[in-house]
Amino acid sequence: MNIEQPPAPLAAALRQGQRWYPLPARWLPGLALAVLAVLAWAALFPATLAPYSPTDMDTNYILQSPSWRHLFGTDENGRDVFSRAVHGAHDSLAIGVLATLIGLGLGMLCGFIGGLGGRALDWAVTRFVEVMFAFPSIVLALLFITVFGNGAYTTAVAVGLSMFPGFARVIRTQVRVQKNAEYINASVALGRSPRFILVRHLVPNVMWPLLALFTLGIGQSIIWGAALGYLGMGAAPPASEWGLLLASGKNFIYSAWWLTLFPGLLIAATSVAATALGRALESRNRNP
Amino acid sequence: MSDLLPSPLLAARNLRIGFDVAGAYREVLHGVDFTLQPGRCLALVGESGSGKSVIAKSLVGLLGDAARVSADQLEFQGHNLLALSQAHWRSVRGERVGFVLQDALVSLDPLRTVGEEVGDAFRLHRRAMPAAERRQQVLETLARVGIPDPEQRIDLRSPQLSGGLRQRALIASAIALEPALLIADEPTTALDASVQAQILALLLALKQRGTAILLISHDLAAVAKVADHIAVMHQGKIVEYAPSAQLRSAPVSPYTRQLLAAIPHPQRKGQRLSPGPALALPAHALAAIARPAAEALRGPRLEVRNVSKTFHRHPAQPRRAVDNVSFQVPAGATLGIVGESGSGKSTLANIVLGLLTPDAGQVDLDGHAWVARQQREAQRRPLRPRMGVVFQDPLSSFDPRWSVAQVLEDALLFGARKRGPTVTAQAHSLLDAVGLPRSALHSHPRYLSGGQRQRIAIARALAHSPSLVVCDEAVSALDVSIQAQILDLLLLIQRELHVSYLFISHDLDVVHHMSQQVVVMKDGAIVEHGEADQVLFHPSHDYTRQLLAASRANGVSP
Amino acid sequence: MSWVVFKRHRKGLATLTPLGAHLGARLALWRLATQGLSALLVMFGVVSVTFIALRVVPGDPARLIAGGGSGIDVSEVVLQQIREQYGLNRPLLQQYLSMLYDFGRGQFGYSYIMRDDIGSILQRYLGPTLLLAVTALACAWLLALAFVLWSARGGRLASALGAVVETLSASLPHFWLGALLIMLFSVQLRWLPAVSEPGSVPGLVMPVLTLALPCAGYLAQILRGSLANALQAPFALSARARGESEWGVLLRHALRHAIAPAISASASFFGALISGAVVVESVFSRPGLGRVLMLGVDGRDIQLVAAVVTVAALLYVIANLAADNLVRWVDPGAAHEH
Repeated sequence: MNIEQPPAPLAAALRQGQRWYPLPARWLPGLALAVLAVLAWAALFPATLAPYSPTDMDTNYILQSPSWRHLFGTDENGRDVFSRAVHGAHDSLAIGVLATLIGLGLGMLCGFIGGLGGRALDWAVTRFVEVMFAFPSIVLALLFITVFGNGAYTTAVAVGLSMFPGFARVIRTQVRVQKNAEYINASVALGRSPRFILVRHLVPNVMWPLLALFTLGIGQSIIWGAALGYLGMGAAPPASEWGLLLASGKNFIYSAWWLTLFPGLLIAATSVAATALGRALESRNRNP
Repeated sequence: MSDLLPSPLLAARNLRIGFDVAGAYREVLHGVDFTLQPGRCLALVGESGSGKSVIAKSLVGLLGDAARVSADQLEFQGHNLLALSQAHWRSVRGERVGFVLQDALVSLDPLRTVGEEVGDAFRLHRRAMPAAERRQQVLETLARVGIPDPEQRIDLRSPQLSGGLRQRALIASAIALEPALLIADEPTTALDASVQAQILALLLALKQRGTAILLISHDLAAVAKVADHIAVMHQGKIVEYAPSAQLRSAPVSPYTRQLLAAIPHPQRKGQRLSPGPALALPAHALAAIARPAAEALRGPRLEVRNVSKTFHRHPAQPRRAVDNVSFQVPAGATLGIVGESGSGKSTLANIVLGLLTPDAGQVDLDGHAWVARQQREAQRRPLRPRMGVVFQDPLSSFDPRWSVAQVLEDALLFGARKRGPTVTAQAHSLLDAVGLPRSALHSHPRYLSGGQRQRIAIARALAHSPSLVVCDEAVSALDVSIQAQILDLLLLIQRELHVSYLFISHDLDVVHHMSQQVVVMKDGAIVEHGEADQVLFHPSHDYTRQLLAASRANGVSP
Repeated sequence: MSWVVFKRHRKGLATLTPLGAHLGARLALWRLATQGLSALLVMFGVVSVTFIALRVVPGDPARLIAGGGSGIDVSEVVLQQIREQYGLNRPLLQQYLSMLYDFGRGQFGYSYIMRDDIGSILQRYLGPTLLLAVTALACAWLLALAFVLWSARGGRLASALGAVVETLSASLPHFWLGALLIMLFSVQLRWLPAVSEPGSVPGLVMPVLTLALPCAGYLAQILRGSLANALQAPFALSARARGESEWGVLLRHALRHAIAPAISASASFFGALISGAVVVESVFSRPGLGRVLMLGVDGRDIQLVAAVVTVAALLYVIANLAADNLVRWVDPGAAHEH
């Protein structure tokens, strides 16, 4: 086996220059971060951004198309859609973050147990993950909701549950790869305890690349959370979660396009921003 | 000088190559002249980064879009290569110039059969040829490069072939149309010595049949048998250009001499390999890492007794990786282990390091029980500071997230000591000892050169003043001159610190250079064990003689 | 295909032992058998998890069926009736074994919410959903391949643009994309019906597109990544050095290397497609398994939910089996390396 000989910044630069798959443009991650920051602000302090209350009905302004007064128009009850969307950010983002945390937590548990455990344990964990993987994600979420009823938090748990097999697989593979790396042998040869190796070597080296997975996961779980809301199985109606907004817009798809366009745009923008950020982190991991 | 000869096949005058990198132009080849006559062989020899592979790729027009090639003359068969269009290049490649890359495992498409890969040349350049005839031609080509039973192998894929056959198949794909010129870029690098000898013999045979060869290698000794002329390259220039016999017997340029002197040679054991001022460990570094004198040197450092290990990866075919191996490493001395890939030497190294539990047998370190079937890692841990290790690939042996300082401090901090000024001072002493500037502490191993990385690995191994250091192919991936520096450093450390080495390598001459005792391994068992000179000059076992013959065939002669 | 067993000789030389065709066939059969066995194991796990989720976790499944989490007080008489009807008064183990036995032979029971035998419900609605998912997958492959090949030879700008388009389309929510398509093609242009009737081809166009676009984005990302790797591999350089054109390297060498990982990924996409179908069927009011599942969840018809969940998982398992064997066909080396 050959080691790359020289430190050769030239060789590295050449490889970069010949990269046929370009890295996302320099400003893209920054833009994505900015979008997410604004959304996070909306989620935490909706009142600072929303001009109206999300629940105030104004029967004089029913199904108004977008104007300066009502940026996103009004709905069938005369509520300001922009304000509702701003207030809905909390539920949508909370579902996304919470679901990803739950998924990652379960995934880490299974991934590390499978990756570090002996042959039998690994076999059992892998089979279990495979079984959970066989449930299409929304089907698994619906199974969960059948039992526990719907609501924002149930949705977060349901989506998290449906995401964990994917995380578990990636983490297990990563643990297996890192576990057999030469630097682990070197650390054993220095007399390090298994605990030290797990905490100081394995966990950082396995989890750092997963930061990208985390952001990618948020993008996905927001979509699935909103999908459940759209199907009427997610957050419950008084809330203005984005999926719910879309579902209520469905009845007016022929007359009030703004009820469908704007909430969907928000969902898509969030998920695109999270995905773009994740991809940027991913490529930084690959070419440090 | 070439004016007297009939028109050369290939002629380059003032060849310059550079790349546009991030908007700036950087020249890597600074004006190179060479000629190659039909049916002759020119070898470009140099270390990595010398520009030799760039020349090879420029001759088939595959340098990529970022490259800028200029020359006063660059002609092949009288055609100006600088003026070729892409379509013209394609008619040159494969048809008139064959190109062989170093590792056939990745240079042949693993999803396509040997027949398809070799047949490509006919498919692309002899469009009218019917499939049946093409197959016949491929079979003949495979036979021509010495592949036995081509009928049986034509429908296999490269991963299904052994290393030697695979390399032959790759060569077959390049010479299928009998091109006038064959460019071989490090054709033997990844191969065992015996296979390497076979491939070189094949190249020689091709040359004798009239194919001109441009041979590119880092190994001056290996190319000498095949090449008529050798051009030694250094930092983008040819520093010496001479007939191969002359170059080896009476090198003129200081660089060539240095390169030749850097190759361990049976007759020059005990001499310095690298140039430079006299080596010595700084006194403070010596004080910091020398073993406490209180511990008297009695008995062997390492004693391996009847160690065996069998792998059961395929239940039907258990593989005996280490078979009843015994030896001792005396205090302050080196035992070398030599063997080809698959001989079990790496498994043995892992057992000695306590990373792998043997099925039977026992290993003692400094007279303490160290490795045995029942021995637990927890029992071994207090003894760990007594043994250091240097792996083949230093980069992968460091935590990818750690800086040099973290690597060294982590090694030093084992035990009760706390991070602080003392630890930093000790890390500095270690760097002084291995000849690295103290500023290296703040860099990441990824940005150091291969030699520098290996020095860090040695520094880490010395952190606890071990009594034994295991060097597992520690210099195999390094360029010759860097290898020379590392070997010199290891010998210096041994002289000053009386540390013992278990030195494992596939290279007989390197092992001989380093060791007092040599063990030859084959199929997991020791076939020969004796004084280093005895094994090298008067081998008693056939296999040792075979190894020696292969290594001599590749150039080195005692 | 000729079957050859590869044996490493002790000297490091390879010796080849050609085997008879019947032995090769037996090897293939053995592989199929183990694959089938592990698929069965997964399905056994799926049914078990479903059973635990629906019959063990809720505490009293009868109460779940009667009112869900609504907290309405249901009289003990009604609960007893439900227990009788669903066999919930039997010991858990017996319920479990009978569920395994029934599902194993395709007996899924009776759905009180649809007032029909579940087996015949599945028969009716499986077809439209499968048609939707499979057409969408085929469409996604076509779109992704065409797009990646176009941008692969289009220089840096095209591939940068490609990466952006893929990321965008991969993160589009189905329900929104579907709604946008309806607004465009049904409301504005009046080309296509907003409601997708089964058996109508124009009605299939928008649901398939909705499902295929995000999937195509993912596929294209995978294809582009592995294509880029393959184009930079040493074997691609060798091929160019033999006189192969860039298109030749792309189609003859790189594409084959890119397709194998994309096929493996398609199997997991199939799960996502089923998920997507649930949403898309709701958007386009299209009858199918997804609608049946929604009805079941809404009405807490645990028998129906269990059956649909099991069938959805079965579809995924079958897709995986197919993908495994397809990959083996494209990349016979995959068998060697493991």
